[in-house]
Amino acid sequence: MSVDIKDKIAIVGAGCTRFAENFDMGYGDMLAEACFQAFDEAGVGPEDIDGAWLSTAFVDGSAMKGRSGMDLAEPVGLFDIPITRVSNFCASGGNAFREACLGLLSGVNDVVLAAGAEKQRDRPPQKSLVKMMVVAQHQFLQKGETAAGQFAVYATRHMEKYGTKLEHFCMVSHKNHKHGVKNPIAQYRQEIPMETIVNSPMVAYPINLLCSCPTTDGAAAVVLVRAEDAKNFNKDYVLVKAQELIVNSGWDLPFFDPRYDFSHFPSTRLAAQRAYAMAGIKDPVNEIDLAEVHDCFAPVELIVYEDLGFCKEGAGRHFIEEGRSTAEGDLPVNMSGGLESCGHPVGASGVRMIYEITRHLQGKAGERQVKNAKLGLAHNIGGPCAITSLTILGAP
Amino acid sequence: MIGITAYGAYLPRYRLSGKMINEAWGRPGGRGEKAVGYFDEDTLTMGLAAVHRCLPGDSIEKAGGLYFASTTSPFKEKLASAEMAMILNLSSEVRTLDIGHSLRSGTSALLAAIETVKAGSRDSVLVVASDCGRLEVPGGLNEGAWGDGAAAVAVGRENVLLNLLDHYCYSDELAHFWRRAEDRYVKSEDVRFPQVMGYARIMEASIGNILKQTQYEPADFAKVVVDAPDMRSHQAVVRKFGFDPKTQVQDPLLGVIGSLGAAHPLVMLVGALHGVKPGDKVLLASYGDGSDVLIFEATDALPEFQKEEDGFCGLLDRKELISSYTKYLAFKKTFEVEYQDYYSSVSALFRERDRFSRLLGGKCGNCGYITTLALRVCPNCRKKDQFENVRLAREGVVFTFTQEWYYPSPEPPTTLAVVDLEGGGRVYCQMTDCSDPGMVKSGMPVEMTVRKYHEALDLPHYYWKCKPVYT
Repeated sequence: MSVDIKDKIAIVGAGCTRFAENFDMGYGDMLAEACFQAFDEAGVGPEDIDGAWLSTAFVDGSAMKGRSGMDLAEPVGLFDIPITRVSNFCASGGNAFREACLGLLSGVNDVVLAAGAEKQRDRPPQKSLVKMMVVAQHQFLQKGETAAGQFAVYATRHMEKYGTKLEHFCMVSHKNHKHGVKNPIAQYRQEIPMETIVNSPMVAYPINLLCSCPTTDGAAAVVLVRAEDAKNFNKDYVLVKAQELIVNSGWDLPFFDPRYDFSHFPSTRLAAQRAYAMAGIKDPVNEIDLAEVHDCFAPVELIVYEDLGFCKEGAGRHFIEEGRSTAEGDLPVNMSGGLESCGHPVGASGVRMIYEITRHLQGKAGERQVKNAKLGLAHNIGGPCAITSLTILGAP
Repeated sequence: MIGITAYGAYLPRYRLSGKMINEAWGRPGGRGEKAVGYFDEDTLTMGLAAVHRCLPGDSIEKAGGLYFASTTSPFKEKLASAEMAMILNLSSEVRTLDIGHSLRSGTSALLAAIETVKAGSRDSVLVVASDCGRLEVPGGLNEGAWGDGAAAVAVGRENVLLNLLDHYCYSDELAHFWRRAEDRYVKSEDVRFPQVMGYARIMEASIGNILKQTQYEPADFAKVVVDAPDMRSHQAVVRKFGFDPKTQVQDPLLGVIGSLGAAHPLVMLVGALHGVKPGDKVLLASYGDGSDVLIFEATDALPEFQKEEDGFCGLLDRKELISSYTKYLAFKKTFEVEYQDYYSSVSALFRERDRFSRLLGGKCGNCGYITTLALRVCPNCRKKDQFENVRLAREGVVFTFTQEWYYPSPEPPTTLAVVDLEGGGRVYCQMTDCSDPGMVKSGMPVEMTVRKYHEALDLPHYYWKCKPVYT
């Protein structure tokens, strides 16, 4: 690796719409709101942006919006600059952020925007992501499965290999819903009793309804500049310590590849190894102050504790049982409420996580603020497991 | 010598009882059971299952012909035998023929196959007789009468098990059961008229004439396999010729599996061959607008085949009752369900049929990695275009699984399993014939079977599922 990203890029503005069933906002409305929040914080207007990346994972949820960079230009007033649409499943947001960083690092751009948006609720949930999984894919491969099932085969394996119980997954969901109460932009802001989660209807064994994220609309955006320019925009800036994007397999291959063990996510392990090296992190659980990790389905978060090195392989259940990832724990995870509470507008989620970590590092996370947060991590896994985006941010 | 060189029958796992039917319609009592294809089974998948029970994988591919007999082909226009030949990986020079429209099409196909071999056109022909979804209107009197099943018989010159000695074909049109081209359900009119003037008269003529022609006595046959629309008619014919019901007559099993339509004579034959010894003579008679009668003699090769075959009685025993009459109606698509607009592509189906229709693996010539996907570059050694087709085992073990409660299915949850096949290759597919989700465990042995996944483009889509190994 010839170029080190560490401490060279700064976030000078961040914005995020409410994550909800935004029946009152279209795809473009949400982008305008998130981007202008970020512009305002950075003290810029659309005319100051000289390169932009738009993350939208799936375009068939809303009149094909998000197909191209044009769908960011029109609603936000970004014209006469390069704009690229990025799509990489659940890692799309992190991917757009990465490209924006590289645009600055290369010297091609000076002030860039990374925005993510997904409009899922112009259709009933069963006609958006679920429909894509059930009917729109290859006529045979993975047929019979929903998104929950893709991760459920990992959960089953983890239970059988390490003795993890369904209750441990429910603890993750319980914790995240508890955290979500304090997040004003979250879709669900309600603590849910363990018993209700445990007894919620099964979606794809062993993943039940309340261990699954809802179908949600949302957009988020960040304005980035090179670190040396940051103070000219916003003295409350945040530095990028590392960004990794790993694609280690394909959409179908993991399920058909005899080398896969299904007890962990190899893309996350590799991304963590490289990102920690870049950021100079040797003891993640003690050095990292908070993390936003992918919890589209609760078992994923538990498995990711292990893959991110927060605990040993197979010890994810102890990590959640001992409360170490709660607001009071030594490594609070998903203070935003995670995807379980915020929902998962796929292309927006990764950028929303970066927004969340930024607010904590700025000390502006309100009621849910992690005290003295200096280093935070944002993680997405997608596709269903072959792609990981990992971003580490730090206070200057 | 030309005759039958292998045979096998297939029955679906599920049964519907007369009691369940009567309970559903508020009638007292109810007797017997019938075999019911699962929601993902059809005439074609059952036919394929019968072929796999007839011959080992490497012998199937040697067949020079495939004759398919059914009154319930998935297609009005399209050759089901050609689709089966493709899935079974037969040569493109295979003779394919669909024979339909009659309950005696199974025996007619068998005779056609024997005549094909006799004429020297092909050395061997696979005969598949299958019926699935031959239905009485829900609530009708014959609802418990007609079941689903299939049989496959290989015909050839070498290693003959049953030598065809004589045959007799008798054509006599009569309105017993029928379906017009547009009819969903089987129709009939009078009950007694076709029993007396149809079945009894026709069978007496056809069996009587072949006995006269060949000079055999009824007592000369070790087994008498006579298809029949109902037990009363069957008993009348047995009595008429003086066949001994205890020693000679193969039970038509009508109250056990139902009448299996075009498949029934050959399924009965498979059942009858269990106790047959070299030198024994077997009489096989079918019925439908006339009758085909065939007389076979067992050869010395038969005992060796009998040792290897998976017994017919086991097939009858490995069953379970369908969970409800409503499920039966759903399996048989007797009511509208929400239409799913599944993606598919006829060109992709064609292009990927080695992997997904034939379940041929790709073995990397460079590193030996086996893929079950349609790939060009090996994920292991990353060399391009090194994959050679290899036949994969149909037996495997579940590595991990999930059960989907929200995938549209008449029988949720849909179990999906990652399956490691014996000898290499991993597939991820639905599990079928598994109505008890609690029995699914990682490590459980499964076998692969072809089932219908959906009907995107109004075209049946056949692909592999795994199913538990029931013993």
